[in-house]
Amino acid sequence: MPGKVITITSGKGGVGKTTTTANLGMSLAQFGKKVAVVDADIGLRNLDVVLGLENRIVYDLVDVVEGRARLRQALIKDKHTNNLCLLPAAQTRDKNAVSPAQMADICRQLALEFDYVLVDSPAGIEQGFRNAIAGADSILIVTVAEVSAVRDADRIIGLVEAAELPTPELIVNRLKPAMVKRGDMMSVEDVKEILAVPVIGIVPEDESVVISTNRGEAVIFDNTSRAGKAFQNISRRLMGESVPFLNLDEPKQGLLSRIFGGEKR
Amino acid sequence: MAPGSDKKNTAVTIKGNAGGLLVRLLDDEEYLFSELLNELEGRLEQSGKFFLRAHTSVDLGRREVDQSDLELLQGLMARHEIKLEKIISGSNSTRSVARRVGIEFLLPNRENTRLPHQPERETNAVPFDNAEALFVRRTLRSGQLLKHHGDICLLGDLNPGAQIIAGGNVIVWGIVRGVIEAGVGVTTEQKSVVCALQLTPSLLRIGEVLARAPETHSRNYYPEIARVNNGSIVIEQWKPHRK
Repeated sequence: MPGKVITITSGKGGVGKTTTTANLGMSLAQFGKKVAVVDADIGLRNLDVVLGLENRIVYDLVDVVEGRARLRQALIKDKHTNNLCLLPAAQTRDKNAVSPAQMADICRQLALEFDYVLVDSPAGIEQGFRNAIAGADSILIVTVAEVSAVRDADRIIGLVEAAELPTPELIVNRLKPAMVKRGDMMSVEDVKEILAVPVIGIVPEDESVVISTNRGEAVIFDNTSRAGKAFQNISRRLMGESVPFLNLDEPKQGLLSRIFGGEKR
Repeated sequence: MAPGSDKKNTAVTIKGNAGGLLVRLLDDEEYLFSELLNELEGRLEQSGKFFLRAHTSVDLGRREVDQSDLELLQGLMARHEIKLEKIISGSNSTRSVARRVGIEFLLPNRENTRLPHQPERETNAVPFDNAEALFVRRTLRSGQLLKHHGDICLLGDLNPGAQIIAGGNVIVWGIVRGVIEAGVGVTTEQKSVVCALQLTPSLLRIGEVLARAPETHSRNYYPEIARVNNGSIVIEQWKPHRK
């Protein structure tokens, strides 16, 4: 039975697609699944950096498409986790180097070997986006609770619906519950009201993500990180488990540290 | 006359009024256009020179007529020296054909192509042109555009960044946050209205008149109707029995 191809996209840039792809991929692999993550952001590749694999790239997606390497040669095994592989993007080319049909073919081949193929889409709605969704069975949309991101996500959902893919699921990322309470940030309900798609995950803003990214590690390995926990919950939901959403209102640290150390976000 | 031809007699009716002649070709699938043309030819032959050089409109109802058929009609009337000035049609495609052939066209008014024994339309019917309305049942997302020459009815929301452009009225059974343009291209008195369960468009245009959303938003929303009054857009709460 072929694996599932899931494309992670957003429209807006910088909302956390690559972070999400890396962490969901790593989490699924930790749960024993065979996972391939594909960087479809040709020319601005990031997935390799976030996973700490940038020094191991020999061949990339464009090499495979243009016949200079076989798919197996281009796939990079993760440093620590055997069942996670990365197919990196090319950095010296651009998004016109690959066609949607070629992308779809690569995803199909990967789905024969892996339980999950996660495709990290570039921002935008042009060729890069069209390539990224070409081989997808389903779509995850990442957004932040901000009017501009929600506007872009809405556009993307319209394009996904027009491509006759199943209804996408939404991840609301970088949420700041205190700001939502003050009315300074849109709530998840506000976002749902406009986008009207099911929410598969709510990830709080978390400094640990910056720290992990710079170390080239997935944040799910940081036990104190609530963002990490949220990503793990999302991967469980992807596998069909019913997982309640984290209560993001609980303070992370004890009373004493809040008095003396100031509340850490 | 042969039996059965009585029915055919009512398929083609010719009426005269101050403006000229109105030829009505019945909009009924039972009659092929070619049969109607034959019938019309017969009637015109019978009446001799009575209709000579009359200004004539032909009412086709909602019948879909292609270019060759329309040209046959034109030819037929020209042979009898009758000036075919206008086509009255409720069909978008027939009107397009008329445009291509170079005949002026009108939308049907309340006097539709009906047999006399059918019930008359109620007299307090809405006094707008009877163009087909477009009914769409989904939410329009950012970047999507819905465009139609007649009325538009949307069962769903109009998200920010989405747009509706209508030649007639617009009714949205949902929340409007996008752009609505109604009454586009109407050169006579602007009567188009825009209604919504929550009317909070980023931009609203009725005909030539534009209105922008206010900066502040109240949290209490109720159904509203927008129309042009004295050159500006007026929005009122929808109340039953309001026309």
